[in-house]
Amino acid sequence: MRKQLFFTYACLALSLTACKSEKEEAVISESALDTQSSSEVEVKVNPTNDVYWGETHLHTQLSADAGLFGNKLGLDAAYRFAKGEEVTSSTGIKAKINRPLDYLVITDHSDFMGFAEDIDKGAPNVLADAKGKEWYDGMKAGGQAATDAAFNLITTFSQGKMPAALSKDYSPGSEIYGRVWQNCIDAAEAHYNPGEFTTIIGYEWTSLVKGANMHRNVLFRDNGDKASQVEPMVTIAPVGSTDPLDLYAWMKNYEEKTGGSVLAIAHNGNLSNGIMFPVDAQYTGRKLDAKYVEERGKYEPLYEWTQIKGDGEAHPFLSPEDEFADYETWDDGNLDLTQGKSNDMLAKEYAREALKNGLLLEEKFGANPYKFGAIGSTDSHTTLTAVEEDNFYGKHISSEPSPERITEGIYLKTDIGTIEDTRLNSAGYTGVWAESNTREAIYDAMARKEVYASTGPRMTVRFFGGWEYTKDDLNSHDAVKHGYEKGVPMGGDLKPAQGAKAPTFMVSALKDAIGANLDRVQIIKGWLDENGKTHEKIYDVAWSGDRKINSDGRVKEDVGNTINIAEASYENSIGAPDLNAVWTDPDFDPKQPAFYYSRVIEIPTPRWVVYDAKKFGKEIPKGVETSNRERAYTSPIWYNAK
Amino acid sequence: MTKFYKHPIVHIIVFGLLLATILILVFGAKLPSQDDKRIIIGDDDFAHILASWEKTWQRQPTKAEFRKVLKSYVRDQVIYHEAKSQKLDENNGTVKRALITQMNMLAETQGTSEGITEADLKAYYELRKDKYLKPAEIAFSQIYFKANSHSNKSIEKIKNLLNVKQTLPNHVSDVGDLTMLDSSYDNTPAEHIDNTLGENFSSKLLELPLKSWQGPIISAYGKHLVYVNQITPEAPKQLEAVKTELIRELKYEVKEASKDQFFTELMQQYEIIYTGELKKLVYEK
Repeated sequence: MRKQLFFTYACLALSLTACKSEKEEAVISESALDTQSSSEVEVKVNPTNDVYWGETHLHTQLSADAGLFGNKLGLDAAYRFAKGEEVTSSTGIKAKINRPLDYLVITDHSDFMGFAEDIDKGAPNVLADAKGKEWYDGMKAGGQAATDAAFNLITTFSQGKMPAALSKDYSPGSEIYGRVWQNCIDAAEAHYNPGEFTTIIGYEWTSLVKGANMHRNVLFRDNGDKASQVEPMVTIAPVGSTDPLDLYAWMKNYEEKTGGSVLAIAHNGNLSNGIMFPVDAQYTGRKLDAKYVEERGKYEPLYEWTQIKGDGEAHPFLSPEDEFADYETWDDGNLDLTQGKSNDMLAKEYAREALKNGLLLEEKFGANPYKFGAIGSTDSHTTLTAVEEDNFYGKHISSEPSPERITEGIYLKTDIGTIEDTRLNSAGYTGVWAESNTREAIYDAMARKEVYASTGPRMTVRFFGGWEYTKDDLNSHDAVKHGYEKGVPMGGDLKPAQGAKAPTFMVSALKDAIGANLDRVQIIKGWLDENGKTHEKIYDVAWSGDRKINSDGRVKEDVGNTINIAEASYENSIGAPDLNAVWTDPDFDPKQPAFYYSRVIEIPTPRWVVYDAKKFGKEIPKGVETSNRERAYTSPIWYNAK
Repeated sequence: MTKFYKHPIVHIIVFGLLLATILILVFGAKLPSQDDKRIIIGDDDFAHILASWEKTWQRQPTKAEFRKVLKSYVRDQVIYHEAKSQKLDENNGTVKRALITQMNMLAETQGTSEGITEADLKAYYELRKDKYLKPAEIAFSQIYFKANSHSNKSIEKIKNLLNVKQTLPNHVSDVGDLTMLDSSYDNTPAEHIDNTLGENFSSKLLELPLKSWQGPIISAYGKHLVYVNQITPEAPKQLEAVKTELIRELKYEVKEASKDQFFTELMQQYEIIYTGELKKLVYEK
């Protein structure tokens, strides 16, 4: 089979070489291609927005901690997989996503991002060097001479005998680095198909402070012409830095120089050991001030609420009243598990607490640094954005599907503790409410936070906030139109009250067409009182069946459970396919700044380990969680008291 | 005392010392040479540091910034040289992996150097035409009924009434239950319909007569009366419409082909000898 494949390739290559020898043929220019892809296609536009599903945090072979651990799949495979093509994984499994995605952001680590060669293209600096020219000529000769030249080059390089001039040119952070970045841009441009599949150019700024995770994904609104004017910000001093303030400076600089736009999405803070959302001072010791809160709020409109390394919406220690808070919790320690976790760190790591502290900091400094929307992503290092429970490809190559991964797989083991592969959270994706599936429209929706995180299922969730929504608005065929006309969608700020006593919210949730029914829709409120104390409260606003709501706004009766572990199945005989509500805040105080977001919870479904156990005929180890409560988190809507 | 001089161990020690003295006199003491510990930082380093700074910040560094960069650069150079002189790179798993990655990239670049011509594209399009199909599309409208809100009988009644009155979809109002689903779908690919409504909804639509109310048919959400307006069958896309994709695919296949060729040729230059238990395993029939 393999031989046959090679033969096909070889024939193809030969036939193309034959074509190329006809000198009169004009070569198609790259710039002609760029304009072709975006201008000639008619793209569907919906002024009241459609939801597009995708991923904002994916690593390929180009990331040192993926490539060096055996990930053999690059940018091209990542896009192909996301578009629904079958790809052979690094461990040799034929992999295909159950449903294609609508957009993808590849975010390889900016530090040590890949390698590339200029030899083949005969760049001037290569030809200027005697050895460089020798290699170039060898490669152009083709066949055996090319192989010899390539091998000689690698040997020379590995022995540290590279000519001094070339050595400088091709060390990380210079020419070679520039080329890898350009490869990222080119791949994004090549796979961008407006209206059908959007690619957004991006990278991950990998700030790690004593093992504490401070990573940010940086996304470009722009095409390659602008993105290629810069190289990614790195963390290695002194050109790079681990301080987010320096990242903001880099972003500001990019926008000023190119007229483009960039935004950053902070990595789930659960492994930051208390430094992701500082309240008094940054990890550097620098006190928070107006500069910090303004710049963070401006450059980081989004935050990653859920991903494979755990869920970061809420923590049971911080929210003891919330029975859904202890979900896929990873509170063992920092990113490399070289430092354990203490309870005092948690308040500076979780989304809900950060949203509350944001209100506090706004009161103090006049701007809210933690006014972010909700992103769900994978952070997969396998090039495959595969987090469906029955089609989960793990975190690293080592946790790709295998009979042993649920019985023996270890994600991380240090003196502090052990994290088994069974703890991996098969999540998540982000739903984006955009008027069309284009780079600009998807980015703009992200920038205005009209997005929501999902732990995997693609439920449709609309969430509007205003002062005068009524049941009639909801029970009308124009509910969405009313939503936009009479208020703001998720991610927005409530317009000032016009005589009304309390804000109303309109929320609608539709289950994933090929997923589980819904248990309930909640609205979670956080606020700041006159004494400078923050609070939170959960309200159940729509739920399945005839369960009773108590005076505190909660439905305490469980929805039930239809999971069959042996069969790795569940039934939609409980729950509801859609839930919606118009809800008025019963505890509203106009003097208290607040935020409101919606959480939509599915009925219990099997966790990925259950599907693995059935597929490979294995016993699920004792103590491993089997039941999942998949959910969606909408971006909040804020009420500004002033 | 004489006995002591005659002891063989003494002879060995004395001989050893003598030999060492001669070697030192002839070749000199084996101390690290000046060259081993010398790192020259020159104009090319200067240019490299500047370029790296400018690429990141789009401006030249200030003097203070440059001093900081230089200091760190020098430290890195020293550590790098020291690591190499201690031979830390030999049999190092990270270095090995990095070199393999680099070889892979090198192999890929072999076939992609020359531009693609119109003739290449045409030939490739003919070869792979079956991959570039526009999927079947369906334009339809739907009226939604929650699972238990209406009996099949009452839905049938509504359907018959709509058909008798020849009600067009855009004239339907206040029939059925409210839903977030769209009431009408323009030419929509079958796969998209299935992802939106579940239950292989599109395959059911494809079997229905056009331009009349049909159903009820089942979705993931409940029951639907549907009005199929138009079905556009699957058809190959024109070359012009898929040019970008074609070029991308072509480049990809050429890259893969040259990679395979590179490694096949490389493998041919090596003789792999299996020994021990492995030998039996490899040659076992």
